[in-house]
Amino acid sequence: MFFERTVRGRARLAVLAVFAMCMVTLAISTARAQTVTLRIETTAVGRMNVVVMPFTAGQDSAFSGDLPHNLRDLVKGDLSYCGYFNVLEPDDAPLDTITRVKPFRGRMDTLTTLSGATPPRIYGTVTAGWNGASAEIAIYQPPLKDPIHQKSFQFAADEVRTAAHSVAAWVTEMLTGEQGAFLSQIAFVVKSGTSKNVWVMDWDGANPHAITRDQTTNLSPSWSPDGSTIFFTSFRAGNADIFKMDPDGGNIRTFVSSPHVDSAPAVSPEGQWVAYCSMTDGNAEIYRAHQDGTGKTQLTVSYGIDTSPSWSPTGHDLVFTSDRAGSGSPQIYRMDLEGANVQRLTFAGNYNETARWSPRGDLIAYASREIGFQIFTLGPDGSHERRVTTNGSNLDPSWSPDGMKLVYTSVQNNKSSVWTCNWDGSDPRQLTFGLEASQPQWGPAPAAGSGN
Amino acid sequence: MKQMLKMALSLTVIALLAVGLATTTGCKKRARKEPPPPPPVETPKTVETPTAPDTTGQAARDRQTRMDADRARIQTVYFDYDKSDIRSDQRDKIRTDADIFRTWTEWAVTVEGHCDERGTNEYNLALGERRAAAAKQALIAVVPLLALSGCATRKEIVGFQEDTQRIRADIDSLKVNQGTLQSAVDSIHSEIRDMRAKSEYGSSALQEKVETLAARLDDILGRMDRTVAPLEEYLRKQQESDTTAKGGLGMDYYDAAQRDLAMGNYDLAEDGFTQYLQANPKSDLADDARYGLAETYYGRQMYSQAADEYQRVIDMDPMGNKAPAAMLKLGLCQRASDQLRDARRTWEDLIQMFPRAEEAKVAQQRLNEIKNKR
Repeated sequence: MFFERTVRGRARLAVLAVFAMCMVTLAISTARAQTVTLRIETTAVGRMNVVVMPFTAGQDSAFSGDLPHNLRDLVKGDLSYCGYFNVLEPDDAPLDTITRVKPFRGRMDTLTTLSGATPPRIYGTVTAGWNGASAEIAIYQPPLKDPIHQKSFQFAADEVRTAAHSVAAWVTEMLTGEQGAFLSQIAFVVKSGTSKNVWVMDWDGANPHAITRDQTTNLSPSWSPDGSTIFFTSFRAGNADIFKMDPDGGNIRTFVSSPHVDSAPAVSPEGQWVAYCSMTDGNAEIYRAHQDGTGKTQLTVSYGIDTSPSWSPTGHDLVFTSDRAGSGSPQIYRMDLEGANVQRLTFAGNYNETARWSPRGDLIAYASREIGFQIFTLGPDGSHERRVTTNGSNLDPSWSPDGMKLVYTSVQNNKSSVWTCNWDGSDPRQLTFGLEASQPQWGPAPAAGSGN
Repeated sequence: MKQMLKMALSLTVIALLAVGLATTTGCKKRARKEPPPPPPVETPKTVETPTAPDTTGQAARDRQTRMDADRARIQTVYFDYDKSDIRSDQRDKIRTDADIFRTWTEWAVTVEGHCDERGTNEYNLALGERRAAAAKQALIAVVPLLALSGCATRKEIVGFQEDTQRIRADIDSLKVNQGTLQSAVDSIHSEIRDMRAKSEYGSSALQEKVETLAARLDDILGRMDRTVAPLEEYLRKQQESDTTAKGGLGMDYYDAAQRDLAMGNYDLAEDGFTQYLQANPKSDLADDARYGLAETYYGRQMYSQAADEYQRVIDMDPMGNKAPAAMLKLGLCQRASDQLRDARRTWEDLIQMFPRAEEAKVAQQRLNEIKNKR
């Protein structure tokens, strides 16, 4: 109807065709140029199709065994998980050629043409030698004959996972301009018996290991933005104090200690400040101090409980939990880093807490108690409340460094584990197994790994 | 639906030779720590201790028996869900416990506040401490001479079973006009087939290009679908909810400027706010816009310009909703410029004019800091 065979219909067709041609030209020219990047912010979940071809062994590979296959599976898993792509099997991808049979001068002949609807394809050639392995990764965009991006990655034979994360990070950056969170880690709390300890795992749940091993209670880990320090609450000195340590659990030092509860540390995005909750004057208030404990400044002065601070990505504002409007009914508030301009953000429900500001700055995730807890997101002005989780009791949200994913505690059937999902609640996955895990805190994304 | 949480009082009994009441910090005294008390369904454990010095064996044994009996009589105090104030029906228990503590003066008492493990830790830590503090206050109020070394409190995370769950429906809708776009793509395909049928077999290059374009169009229209439909929805909702009170002209400047401020793009935010103020000098949001403009200077540490703008916010509407924050920030600018006397006066004015504002309390903190430095 829109393109009916009338003058007006054909005019519309022409306009649309011209527009489409311009878009195609732009797409092809940006693919070639590699310096023009057009990034359109949208709230729609628009994922890019991509195909990861089977990886092959290089010509002069001394031995390779399963290495190309394993590397390809890991890269494919990372790209499926990160939230930016639909990873298609080579068989399911739209064909890059169409074959037709037509008669020509009395005999049947085949005509092969390019369809052009095919998504980018990732090829990998893996060469393993005595000194380690290397992978040549190439991204093709049919109908173009040459690869549009190419990179070589070196890695030791036992670093396949890390190499796969580096490859996936590079592919994501080339195709979407996003950094992704492939090389980041997640700190979390594991309970065993009557003690709670801090553990760390990879961004996809692999390699979980304990970094504290105490007979006491350790809670609320918080990363510094350069990934060099983890702040956490601990009862090792008798009551709740805040300590800091290296990411391997070594070099534990005191950050804030008092005879009263000191807890909930949060490091600002520039690393300049640590906000935390302290009850030194008898009432739970939020303070900020430098990472070495100097420059202590009180930010809230209210009769209620003020705790759980979280920084905006600019480090200019904070969200926090306060029950100043009604004892026993905590709500989410915001203020700037001087304690001025205090605004209440949540008005629905009577128990909202652990607000966490997304690194993109556009959303604040928090937990709201209905009967169990569920995770919601809000805009920074308190508008556009949106539900993220539905099954089980879900709390303690924490954002990935690219603002694309959340990790959270999920209690189902009386068992507590760490789960993850995309910012809109899609693709929920369990990350910890066989552990009583809670309070995940996603660490920063280091710069992409090896390669030239 | 009120549910009960227990507050367990556990005693750390330390043998003190001659000291009556433990008035130094209890933290150091707890060298012999017991492991965290078990869930409250069991009675709390106590550490076996030597008794007070005595003269005859029998007197000591009788005393020990009485002490043990009294220790067993100590009661747990319950709190209402999410509350930390002592309930009226729990006050008798406080009185009983206080009397017991008054009898055994050599005891050092630890008061513990307990909370539900199912909640989040950070809020519950603070709530538990408040419960311990409330109980300690109540005990001291009953027996004023009783000084408890309850300064060190420990929290025990206790499991608690939630029984029921409500499911809230999620409301989300996206409109996609697939039918129209699909038939559009179909008719393009048929056009192209017509064209191909007319062209000669040899000019395959042109055919290839045309095929490619048609297929790309497919893809692009599909993606436009997903991007445009939610945008349309959003715009429709925006138009419906836009009120004229906010002022039609310049609203986009204001919104964009606020976003830029939030993202740290201070130069752009400064332009946005300035333009908005030029177009709407007297709108409802004028003082918010001027406050935002001041914030862009403060964010770039341009304290004298920031101070001027904060002052204008205050002058425009001295009793407006942005006045307290502006006065606090003005004082901070003045302090940063070493004009301490002006800063003091600004903050004192703030406290006097808006005694109940949050910013007034913060200003009092800052005043104390200045006074302590001198």
